[in-house]
Amino acid sequence: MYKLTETPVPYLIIHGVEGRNIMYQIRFLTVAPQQEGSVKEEPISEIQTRRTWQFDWALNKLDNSVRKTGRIRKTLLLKIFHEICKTGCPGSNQTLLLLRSCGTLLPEVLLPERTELAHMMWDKMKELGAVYDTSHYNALLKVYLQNEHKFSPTEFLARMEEANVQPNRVTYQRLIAAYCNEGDIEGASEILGFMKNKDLPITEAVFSSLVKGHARSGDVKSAENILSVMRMAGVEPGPDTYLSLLNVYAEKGDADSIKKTIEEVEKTEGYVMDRILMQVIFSLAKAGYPQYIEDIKERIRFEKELLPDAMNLCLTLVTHGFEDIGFHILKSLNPLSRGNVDHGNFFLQHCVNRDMPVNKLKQFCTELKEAEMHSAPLPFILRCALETNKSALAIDVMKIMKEEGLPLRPHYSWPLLVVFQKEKNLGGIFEVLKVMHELGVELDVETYTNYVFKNFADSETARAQLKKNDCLFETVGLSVAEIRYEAAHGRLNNVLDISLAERSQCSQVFTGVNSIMIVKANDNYFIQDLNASRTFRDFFFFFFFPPIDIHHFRNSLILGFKSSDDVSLWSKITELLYKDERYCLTPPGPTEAVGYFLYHLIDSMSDSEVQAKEERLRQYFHQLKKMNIVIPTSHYSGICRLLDPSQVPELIKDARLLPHKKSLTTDNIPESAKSDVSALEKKLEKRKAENQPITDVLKQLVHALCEEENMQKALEVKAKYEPDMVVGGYAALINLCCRHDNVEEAMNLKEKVFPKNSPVALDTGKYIALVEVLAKHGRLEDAINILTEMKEKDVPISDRTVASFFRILNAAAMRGEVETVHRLHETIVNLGLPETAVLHSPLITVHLEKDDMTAALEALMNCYKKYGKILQLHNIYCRLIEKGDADLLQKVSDFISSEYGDMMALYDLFFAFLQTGKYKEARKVIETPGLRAHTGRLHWFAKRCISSNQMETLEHLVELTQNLFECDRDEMYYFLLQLCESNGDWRKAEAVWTKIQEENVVPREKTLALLADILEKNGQVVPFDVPKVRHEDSSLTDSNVEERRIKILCRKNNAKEAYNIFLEMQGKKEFHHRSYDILIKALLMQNCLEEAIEVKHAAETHIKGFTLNSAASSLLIISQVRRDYLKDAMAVLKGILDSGVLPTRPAVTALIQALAEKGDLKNLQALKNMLEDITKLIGVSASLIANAIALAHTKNNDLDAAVEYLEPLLISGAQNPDQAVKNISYLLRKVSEEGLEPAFEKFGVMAERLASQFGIYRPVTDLFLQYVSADRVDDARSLIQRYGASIEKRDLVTFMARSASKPGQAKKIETLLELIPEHLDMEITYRYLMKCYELDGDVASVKAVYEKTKAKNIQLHELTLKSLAVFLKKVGEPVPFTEPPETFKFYVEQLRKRRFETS
Amino acid sequence: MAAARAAREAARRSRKLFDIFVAEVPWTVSSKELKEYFSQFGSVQRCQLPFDKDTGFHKRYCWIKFSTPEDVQNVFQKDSHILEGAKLILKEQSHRRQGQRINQSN
Repeated sequence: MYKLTETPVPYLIIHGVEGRNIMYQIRFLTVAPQQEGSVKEEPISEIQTRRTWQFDWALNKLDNSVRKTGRIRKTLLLKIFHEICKTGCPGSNQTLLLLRSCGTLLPEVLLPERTELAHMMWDKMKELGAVYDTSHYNALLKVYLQNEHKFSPTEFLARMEEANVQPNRVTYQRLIAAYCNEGDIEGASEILGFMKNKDLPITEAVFSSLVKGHARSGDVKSAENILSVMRMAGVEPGPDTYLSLLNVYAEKGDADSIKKTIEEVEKTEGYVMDRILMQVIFSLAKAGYPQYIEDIKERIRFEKELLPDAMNLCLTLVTHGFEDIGFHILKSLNPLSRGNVDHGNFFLQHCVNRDMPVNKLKQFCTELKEAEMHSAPLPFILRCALETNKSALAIDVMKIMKEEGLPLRPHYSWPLLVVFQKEKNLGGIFEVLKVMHELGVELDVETYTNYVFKNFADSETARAQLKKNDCLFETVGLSVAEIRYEAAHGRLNNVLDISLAERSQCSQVFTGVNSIMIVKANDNYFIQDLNASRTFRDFFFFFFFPPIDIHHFRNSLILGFKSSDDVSLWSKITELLYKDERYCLTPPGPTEAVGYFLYHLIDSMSDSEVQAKEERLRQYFHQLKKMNIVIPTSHYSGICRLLDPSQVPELIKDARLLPHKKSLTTDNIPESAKSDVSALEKKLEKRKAENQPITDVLKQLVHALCEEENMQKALEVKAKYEPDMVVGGYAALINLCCRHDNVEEAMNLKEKVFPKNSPVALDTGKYIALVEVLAKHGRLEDAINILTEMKEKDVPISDRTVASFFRILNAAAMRGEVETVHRLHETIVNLGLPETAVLHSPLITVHLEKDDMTAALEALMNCYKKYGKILQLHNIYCRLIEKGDADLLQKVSDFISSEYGDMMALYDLFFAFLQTGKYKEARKVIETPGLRAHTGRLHWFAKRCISSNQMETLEHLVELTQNLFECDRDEMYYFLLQLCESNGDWRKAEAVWTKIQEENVVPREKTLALLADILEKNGQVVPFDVPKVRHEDSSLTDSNVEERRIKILCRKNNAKEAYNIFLEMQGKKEFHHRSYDILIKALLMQNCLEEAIEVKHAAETHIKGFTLNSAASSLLIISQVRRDYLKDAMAVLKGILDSGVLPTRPAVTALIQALAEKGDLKNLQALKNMLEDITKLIGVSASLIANAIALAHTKNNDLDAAVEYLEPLLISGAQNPDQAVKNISYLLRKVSEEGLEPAFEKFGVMAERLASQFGIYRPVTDLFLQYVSADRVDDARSLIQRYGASIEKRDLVTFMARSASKPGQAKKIETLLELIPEHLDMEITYRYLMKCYELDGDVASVKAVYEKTKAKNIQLHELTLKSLAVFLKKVGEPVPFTEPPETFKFYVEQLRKRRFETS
Repeated sequence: MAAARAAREAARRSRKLFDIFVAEVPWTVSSKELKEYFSQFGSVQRCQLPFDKDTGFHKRYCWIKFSTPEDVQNVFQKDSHILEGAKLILKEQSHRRQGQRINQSN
């Protein structure tokens, strides 16, 4: 096995490979274990939340650090250790994580120190109650090996035995490695004996240990011989073995053998040796043969992906005192430099940490600078020194910087001052002040305010102390700081004194004019006339109130307010602010300024501060009211929002004194009814007997029978009451017949009631059902006729419809009916659907089914050319590999590489080799240098394996990605366990557990919990401490096997079967909340509304307060709307809103539109009220609702009401951006499409009135665009003649973008070009026009447009050119310009960026 | 409670009436140097560079306010901003654009 991780050499995998793979679980380690039985209902304190949050942050940082760099900083590790300890008893994987990190992941720490760290953690966590299992002992062993820690393996085994922990294969392997480190072959053999007795496999890891063992016992011959021994045992030597051998030579200083071995391996095995060679360099350094390093180094290709490993090598070398060798390696990394980024920071930092003498540091800095690797190494070293509190070094470096003419700034002293302040070391502070002075740095006001004065009781003491210690340097900074400092401490009298005393001094410094005061605050100089200003009011003028914008002194003022309890003082100052215009120079005026100030004052106070000062704030508000101070409503609501979490209802009430008042409304909502067959039958007969009209009851009965799926009876009822049947009843019947495969009857009914030439149409679902059943029964022409009819009657097509089309096409493809697929596909695509890739894939599937690979590949490329989509690629790859068709394989690979890049092509190839069991080839692909983990793709394939139950494939995926850069190992194993879970295979799960240890991965809690769950369910003992799972709705808490099966079936889109299991289990078991959600959602996806509602009822009876999640309830609403159950849909919407769940935008939109179509004003109004506060959150625009209400009025034939409702909204919408009812495009489109000409005219008049009388142009723009859409060019032209100048460009662009998203819309843009060329951005317009024609596949027009742009000298964007080039190539036309070289994505991004930047 | 607090936090962030947010400010510069740098594009009204009182280092980001929108445009005319060898990351604060969003009905 190719495995770098299980090797006997302790310092072996210092770099990357192992390190990167491990610690993704950390962000899951954040749960504080709860003591069972004593769970108290306590609100989490703010501090605790904060701590948890910080802990999360630290763990994420650790995760990132390991993944990206293969190392951890010791400080970070310790921080996390302390956090874990603080939370109480550490969990199993937390302890594992910490132990695991004490080895080579700490390249910056000396070996004995690392082991000490591990022992310290081990003991401490044990004290806290940690339970150790085999994985922990194995991790400790690994740490020993990595740290070259000498220990007795027999004692170790005894300790395990004592703790009643069973050693496993990994334990033995590592013990053998330990013996071999000491050259103790006898010891190793003894353990080998154990392993043989237990029938454990002897892996490559053991053999590589033995290589080392023999060598260290002085027998190099035997060491070399191990390679042939292992081959005889059927184990191929891999990188581990060769590394072991190379290290043997390195320790002996045998450069020739190293060279020979490397060359041999490179020749025969074709490994990438770089990482191995870096280990050899380290061994040579340690063994004292630096002279051979250069030779090895030259063989290494320091590519980008090797960088983390190379950096870790440098660090390790420095740690071991080989800093010159490390620096040498560092300089070889130079060619990797990109741009003018600085290099070597990590190295310099580590040198600082290791207390390298300043001369050495200076030398490194000079060399880095000469090599142009670093632009400013000295300031960087200064920063490192400051960060690590090395004040002596910092001062030395600053001196060197001064010598070299680099600038020194006041804030460089701050980190030093902070440290001395914390240590209460006044001497240190004085020293820093002196040094900075000597270095010629004049310290500023911030330095004194924030870092010097804080050490003293008041500024007077500070001044005296500074003077006494010879570091009083009279500067402006010092003076102003004195004033500020006293003010901020609320010692207003002191401030006044100081300010007056300073006055003369400052004046002398600057102007010499006695009556002028110069104050430097916030880096601005203010000049203030202070003549005779001794009053309180003048003090504020002087200090807080320079006649400039309020924000310059707002903060100081707030600070002053907060440190004072004098409410009347607060009020007086506020009044001053409000009434003295000097302080409100900015346009909004005093109302705004005071509102803003109050808002900030409240904002600056914490909840507890607000609570403590509640009384005073109330008095304050009352006094402001008395002073007739008013603030804007918006500021008032802002303040209320701030106050809300502080729980101060009285204060909030009093805040109401400040603004003008406002009113609110509420509303209610109707509920649903149910039907019952037998009751309806009776009712029908009774009515018939009484000779009353039966139409309605009959319709209800037919519907009820359809819902019961009783076709026989429904048809009988129909026959019996034929004359009274209405259209709706027939439609339901047709659908029922389709469901029951009764194609004849369905078509008969359809032809009879809904003939092609009648204007009456069925709804989409019923047409689809017909098409499906016709296609299934081979009636292709009929099916196509139905599709054409759908187009002619303009039947609305939704995502669901598209999914049904796919089902129909795919069914035909599976039957291998090429012609059916092609003809149906063509007709369907011509319906003018939104872009949906999935519809095209049956075009390929059909050829795969017929095993015609050339045709399949051709279809794939055609799809890409025509629709820009790659489909069925994986299946094609697999089939080609199975067939061994190298030519076609090459062809498809080249194709993908050129379109999507090599990385994608490699992944596709990798997955295909895995899928077809060609693991050797798969390995070669995934080990391509530079390939990184692509999470999305790996997930895709892993999930695919899980859902199709391919254990072997998945296992190989996990194994082969072991060394893949940035691959989340825990996640890979989690996938494996998921599949074990579905299969109930505990043995496999247990083997996965051993593998996890062998690879030294620390599993996330989620993974451990799943593993424990599998073992428990299968009656096995769980060999580790089970973490408590945080998410109660995780799949692990599933009550039983059935529940899991339901979930799996739902995942596989087999909702019907899942439903059957649900029915069987109903009454016997209760399910988990989430399972209901999943099942309901799956049923709705399959259009099984009744079943979904059934499940929902069951859930509601079993779980108190059950509410569907957002996705499921939104789907439910959409299904109900589709079936016209609007009342039910409203009820569902209300229900979820009441329980605090937000519906999705499509659900709400569908409901609004359906209600509008029905003219149901009452419910629209109710809906509007329900959505009042959340339209923005859902993303439903205010315009849509207003348009819908107007449309409803229109449907009720009340045009006046529509205009009366809409017009004022549009007027206020134009003035108030928050209440944004602005456009009427939806309304216009609807009335125009439905041919409601009088309404259209009426709204048109309204739009023109708004434009001419109110200067509101958006509606008239909408009108114009609707004319354009409806091809009413003359109307559009006449409109534009009147309002041409007011058309908004932005709306035009939106309009064009939307037009260019579906075929057949080029005309619209052509019309715009004809009517208003002067309003159009030509580049954008031609881009969209070109896109329209490309979508239409209209080659001649595309070419004509291109010629036109050339003639008009319009510069097209590269994206347009790229798209054009691809289009022309696809249709076999020459490309008359150079095709832009990058991918589509690149140009799209470029365009988006440009748009972002300019918008 | 948590939601209200979050909302409050969001409000706190959004109300900053600065024009530009600058990230990756090198540690060597203080607000003085930042002001000097940005003054070439127009009159800088304010520059807020928060320092961590616990470490004495600033937080590597700052906010800038200019006198006029034109000054801000000037800044963004320049492709990249390099200060003391470090590339600054600039983001325009969005408040100036509020209320200009396009509304679309479905």
